[in-house]
Amino acid sequence: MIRSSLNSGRSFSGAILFEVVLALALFVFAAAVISGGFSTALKSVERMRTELDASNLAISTLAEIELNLKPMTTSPPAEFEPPMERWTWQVEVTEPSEDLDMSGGLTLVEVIVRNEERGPETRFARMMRVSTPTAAWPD
Amino acid sequence: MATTIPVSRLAKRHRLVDAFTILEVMLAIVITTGLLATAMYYYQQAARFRNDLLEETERISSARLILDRLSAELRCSLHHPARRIGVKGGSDWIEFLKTSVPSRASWRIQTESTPPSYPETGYRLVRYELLKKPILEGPLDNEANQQMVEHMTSQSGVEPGVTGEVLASLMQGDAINRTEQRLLTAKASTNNVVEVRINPVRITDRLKYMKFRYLNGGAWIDAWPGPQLPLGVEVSLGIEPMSATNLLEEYTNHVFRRVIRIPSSAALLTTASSDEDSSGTNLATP
Repeated sequence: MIRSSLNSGRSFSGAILFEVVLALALFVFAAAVISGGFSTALKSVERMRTELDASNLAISTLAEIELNLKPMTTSPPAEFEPPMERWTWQVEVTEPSEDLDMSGGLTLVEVIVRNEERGPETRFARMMRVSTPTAAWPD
Repeated sequence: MATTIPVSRLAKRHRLVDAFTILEVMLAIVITTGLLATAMYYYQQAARFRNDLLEETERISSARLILDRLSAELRCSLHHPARRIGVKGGSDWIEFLKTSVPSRASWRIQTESTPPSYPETGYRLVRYELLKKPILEGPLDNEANQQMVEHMTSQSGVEPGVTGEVLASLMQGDAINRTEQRLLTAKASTNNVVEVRINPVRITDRLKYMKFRYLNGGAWIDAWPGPQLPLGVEVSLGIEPMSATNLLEEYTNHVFRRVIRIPSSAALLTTASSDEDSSGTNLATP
């Protein structure tokens, strides 16, 4: 009777140790899950910023083509000026043709912006006319 | 032959087995304290990290919203030749005339009981401006500005008056304001009958840097006197304010930049050029 009581005391201590280890394991698991969630959130914010940069670069490149600051010709990938030198831009021009039914002499201009370190490419396309060289208001 | 143990001795041994020693208790307290401290630190860091992420998201969203809105409005901007209003601006502000649908009051059918409404056109005068504050007011948002103030304050013992004046004149970006004003009629006299004070709307205080550049021909310039329209406008937004110590005026932090073409400007230039060719007259200076 006394021996069984001693055994039950040891098993009670073992149960406490098991509970502590279990609590630790749960705590570490929860911390890992939360850390993973924050890592995902951080990546999402970074992706959001990258997408905005890509959109801005593509829209600006299209505007610069319309303003004749960049040529409206198909061009290979080229780097942007600093501080956006990690980004590249490329232009694909589809000339008007009967097959594509682009009436009015419109040209399909597609700008492709890439950042090899950060995710997929961004494409923006617009139909535009071949414009005359940009004039300036006289000073 | 089995030996019998006295009951009192057995009970004492039983108590010794059941109870924790002082060492165990101390160890348990230390472990618990360590765990709690770790958990609290982790919780604080997580809460701070979450706030930072939310703020960063809000800043990026603000930049996107402002750029989209500015793009849409600038593409609708036009030049009113009678009132000589178009686009004018500096490096941190811009004011332009845009088209807009008149308010509901102007569409209302007039009855005898209701007072006559003002005649209203579809023009709106919009202004975006980077609001600035003295560096010494409030918390310093820029590390370079903070270092500069600390450096100048440490030297204030030598020249206190001069340093104070210099610091008072230094400004840093604080927020972006927007003002929208209706033009009731095309006649200037009607709009000048009553002086209406229009309070600017602070559209964001998350972005502390805004810069405009204007395209004239192939060159970008920092100021546009107007009222003619520039061919394009470059808008740059940043989260950190411009450092007052940066003499080169180059913004070194991350910038959201967009070039916006103004379509009606090209049309005006074409018309003006053709008129000039035909009549030989000069264009109006911007």
